[in-house]
Amino acid sequence: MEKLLEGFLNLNKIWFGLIFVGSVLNAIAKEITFFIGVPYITLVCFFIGFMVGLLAHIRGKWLWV
Amino acid sequence: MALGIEINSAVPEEFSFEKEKAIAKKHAQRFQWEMILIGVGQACVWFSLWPLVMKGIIPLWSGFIIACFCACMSYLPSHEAQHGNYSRGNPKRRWIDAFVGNFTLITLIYPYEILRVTHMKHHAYTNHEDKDPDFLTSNAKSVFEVMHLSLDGTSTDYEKYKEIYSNDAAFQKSFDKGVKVFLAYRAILMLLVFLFPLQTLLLWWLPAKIGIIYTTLFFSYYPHIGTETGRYKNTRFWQHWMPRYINHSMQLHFVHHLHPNIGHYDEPKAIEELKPFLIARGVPGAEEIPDRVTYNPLVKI
Repeated sequence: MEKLLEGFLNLNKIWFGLIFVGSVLNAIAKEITFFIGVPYITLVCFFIGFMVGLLAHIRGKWLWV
Repeated sequence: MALGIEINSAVPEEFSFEKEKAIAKKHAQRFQWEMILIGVGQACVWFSLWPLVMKGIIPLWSGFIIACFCACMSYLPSHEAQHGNYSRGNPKRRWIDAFVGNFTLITLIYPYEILRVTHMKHHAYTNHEDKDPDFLTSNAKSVFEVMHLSLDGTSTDYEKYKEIYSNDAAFQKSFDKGVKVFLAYRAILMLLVFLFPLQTLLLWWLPAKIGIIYTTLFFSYYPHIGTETGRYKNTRFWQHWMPRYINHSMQLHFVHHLHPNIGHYDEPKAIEELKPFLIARGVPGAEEIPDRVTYNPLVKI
């Protein structure tokens, strides 16, 4: 159980990207008329969030500067 | 701490460390009710924002502004708790330290126990490159660097300090306690953002980030710019365009490092009384302290 939790936490940036960034992007997309009706917009938002988290995980930090 | 070395340095008897301590003790008695009011008050206001925004009573943007203000007010009451300034050594009142310390930090999404133990190490090893957990931010080269460190979440590399103090059992115990709170915060944040994404972003996460930048700038960066190690050299008197209540009177941070048990709102009086002692010790800028500490500027230029 502890190892599972540890593994989960080691990927914290990816989880944060997927859940937090993904959810926020999805909510923003729903507010913008342009994106209404775009197919798979929710999936795209969560995928972008996941990619942001993955990049941060690989780089070891969030910001580019 | 270099306390033992410096307090014995040659100063006239009338400005001895014992006398300095006696004055400090006089100002370290009062119950810090204002701080409890600020800490508990801001957290309650912040909690109330959620139903107010959800029910459409106030718009999200105004909730965001209020949440940012709450986040900026949330650290100082916890800081008093970290020094035990509510209980003042009375075991029956220790729950006040723990309650205020934890409750007020909800807005900042920070675990009290981790902040408490790392802050104690900051006091013990101020400006020590390896041992001071605030070293990176208090020795940053610019405001921008502080903002960058705070936003990137690397302002304090807590894992590093857990390793440095691996032989300190009390540190480890409190740290591990704090980690559990941190994990709980993370879980709640993830659940909330999934259910209420924009509200979580604008009422909690972003205000917390802004609060952390504000806190790091005024508590860690400005009071320690260009200072060195040593009891009378590790903090400075400084000036800012803001009235000092807006920057939490951190221009008085010097006296806090000398005597952390002086309550925050009693520091001006303590500084007025301690001024001759600070001049005798050669504290930079001490001669410029006005006889009565009111608003800005603290130090005359």
